[in-house]
Amino acid sequence: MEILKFSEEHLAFEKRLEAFIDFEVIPNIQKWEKDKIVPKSVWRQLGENGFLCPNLPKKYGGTGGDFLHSVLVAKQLARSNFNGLATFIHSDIVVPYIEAYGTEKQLNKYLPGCVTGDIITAVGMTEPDSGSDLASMNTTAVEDGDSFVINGTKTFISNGVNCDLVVLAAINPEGDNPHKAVSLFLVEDGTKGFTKGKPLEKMGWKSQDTAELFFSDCRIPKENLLGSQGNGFKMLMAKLQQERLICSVSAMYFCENMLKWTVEYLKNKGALNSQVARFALSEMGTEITVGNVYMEKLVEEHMKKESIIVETSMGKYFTTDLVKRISLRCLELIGDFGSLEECPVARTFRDSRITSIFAGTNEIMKEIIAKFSYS
Amino acid sequence: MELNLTRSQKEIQKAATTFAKGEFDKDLALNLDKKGRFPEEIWKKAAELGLVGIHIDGDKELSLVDSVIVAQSLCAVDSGIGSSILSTTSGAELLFMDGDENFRSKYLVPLLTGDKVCSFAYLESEKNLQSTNTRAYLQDGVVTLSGSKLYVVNAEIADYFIILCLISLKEEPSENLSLIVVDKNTDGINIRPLGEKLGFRMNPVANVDFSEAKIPAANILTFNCESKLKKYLAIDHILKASVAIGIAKGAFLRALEYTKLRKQFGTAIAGFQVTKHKIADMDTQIQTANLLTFQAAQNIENGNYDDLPSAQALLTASKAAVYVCDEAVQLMGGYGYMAEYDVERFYRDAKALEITYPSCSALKDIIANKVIGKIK
Ligand SMILES: Cc1cc2nc3c(=O)[nH]c(=O)nc-3n(C[C@H](O)[C@H](O)[C@H](O)COP(=O)(O)OP(=O)(O)OC[C@H]3O[C@@H](n4cnc5c(N)ncnc54)[C@H](O)[C@@H]3O)c2cc1C
Repeated sequence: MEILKFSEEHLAFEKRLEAFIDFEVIPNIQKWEKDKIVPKSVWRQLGENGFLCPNLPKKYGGTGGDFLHSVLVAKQLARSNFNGLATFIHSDIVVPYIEAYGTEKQLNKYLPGCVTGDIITAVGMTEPDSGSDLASMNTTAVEDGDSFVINGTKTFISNGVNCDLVVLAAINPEGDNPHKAVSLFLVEDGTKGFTKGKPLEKMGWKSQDTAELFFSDCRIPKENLLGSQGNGFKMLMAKLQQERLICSVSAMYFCENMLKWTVEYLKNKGALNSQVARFALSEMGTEITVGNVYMEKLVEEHMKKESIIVETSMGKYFTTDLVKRISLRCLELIGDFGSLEECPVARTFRDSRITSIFAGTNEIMKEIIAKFSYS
Repeated sequence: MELNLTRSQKEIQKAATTFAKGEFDKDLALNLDKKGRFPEEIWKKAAELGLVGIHIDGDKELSLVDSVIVAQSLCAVDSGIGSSILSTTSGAELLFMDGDENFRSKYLVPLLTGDKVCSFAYLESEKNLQSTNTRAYLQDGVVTLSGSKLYVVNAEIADYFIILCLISLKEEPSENLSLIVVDKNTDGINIRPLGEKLGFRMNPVANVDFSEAKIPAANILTFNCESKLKKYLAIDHILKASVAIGIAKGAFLRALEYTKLRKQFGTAIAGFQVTKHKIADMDTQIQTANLLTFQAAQNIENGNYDDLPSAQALLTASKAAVYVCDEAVQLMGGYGYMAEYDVERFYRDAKALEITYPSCSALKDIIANKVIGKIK
């Protein structure tokens, strides 16, 4: 039922990544989860090996790969059952903004560092009072001579502590139509007036440094505007397709892993003689197979540069809901052992619960689907 | 909806809620959950107020509804601290039903006064209690006990265990399930902690091994306890259902308050039609579980220990808790995923309750057996 065709080169890439995850990531997960952060050195190691931004062109230091490389990164990270190194946020969500809208100067300045891991990126959209309703944001950017002055607070920002560069959405307080007043800015770590909070305590994604970002009269040069002024909303919407797609890809691999682990566990316990268990596994396996075909089809269309906003919204809703349901159901089949953190599905349950909330909640996905399809 | 509570039940509800609101500090709860520590001081205070094992009041029948109310009230304020307090009397009803004055004063009363913690160790396989293999034989007034128990809640903090085992009078094996009380400091007990938990983190869990532990014969609580055990499980299911309902209520009230305050797109989240219907579903499930649980508890107060209503109550309540907590997390968006907003912890607790013994599958077996009866 596979749609995606991986070349020899892709598979060699995956093999190297697999080894990296086995030796450099998996043995450290416990520690990083306790520390609530992954050391920056690991990002650089990933970069050295070509695992960050795998589809950036060679002229910016990239390996010139394609989106299938990103799919393989998501697959291998899912195999590690670990989300601290959510490199897809960097490689497939944030860096593409710079790549697509950056000036030649910005591209040359930042992209090589994004590939090597010397520059870890974050995207700052959400604010304490503005989540789903992005247009209600309060972080302002005011022109002043040859700079912009930024004031406001962003919250729940992934890579918020580790980030060296933030793609920040801020609004021009003078604009009357908020949809035309938002612009994107590149804010470097260390800029005066820009401070970071501590990693927030969460249900899962324990070693992902989700944090608040504070901007207080933070002055950045005008050349750090990303794309054209007032076009922020459009740029965000345009890039959400890939953001939501990579969430679906990741969710499907997590589903597969959970099911695989649960089957093994039940087999070893001799619990497959239960008809109820066998039916549950069959039902989950069916849903996952159907979901995979859809996910792979989305990847294929996306790689052909098709605009598939509704389809990716459907995918984001379906796959993130599925990963939650599979985790709940696998835990039920596993029973008492599932109540211990030693059980890998317990962590997947905690980790995957966020996926139907971030990158647009599933309620927002359904609004989008309805707006484009049924109104 | 309010159930028809008697005056004294209403007073208990008020006392438990007031106590919990006054004592269950939010930061403390977060910290205890993170570190996996038992809320010792608050438990002692709850016992002083008479909230621990309130249904075991010395009368012939248990006033189980009282404990249903206390469990719900405490867990709604904080699922972790509330359920921890309730967990200290695990197995106490067995002491009440079968213990003579000696047992009662030595082992039951200290539980109710908050001086001691008891842990009922029963599981050996996750499937059923019939696969008990822990064996003991009685000789010269001494019982020698060997075997292993799994997933023993509070093993590390308990002062004594009630052990489900097969006791033989001579060395020849017996297949009769029996109960014996074992002091924790008895030689031959090895406690193997099971590490961090998904939920109910304030109650550490461990496997416990007994190798030729010597126990005075006077500690044998019940020979041939099968029917007592069935009664006990009916009670236990109702208490667990009450914890689940408390967790659901706690998450529900938090989400309800949040959605009324949180505005997006110029509207309170609670103003969206989809939110309204979610809230309707959440409340309906809680009320359904509540009714079943109260009715099952009243049955037992009337001396009817039928295991069908209690299994149905627990199945409904634990499913409701998972569903309600899951929606609460979703309704609170990114905040719902943050520890500070509590509901993620309630959600983990709800899920842990649902998947640990007795599993939904085990409960459905009980229900199906009763409903279907004999198949010719
Ligand atoms: C771990 C984590 C990582 C994150 N990473 C980032 C990041 O890197 N960058 C970033 O900018 N943001 C990030 N976020 C923020 C995330 O995108 C937001 O949490 C999300 O968009 C939802 O916003 P909110 O939390 O404010 O919820 P709200 O928008 O307040 O929503 C609350 C509830 O109301 C529902 N709702 C809202 N509007 C409607 C409607 N019209 N109809 C029906 N229901 C509705 C929602 O679906 C939700 O259930 C992250 C969040 C988390 C938890």
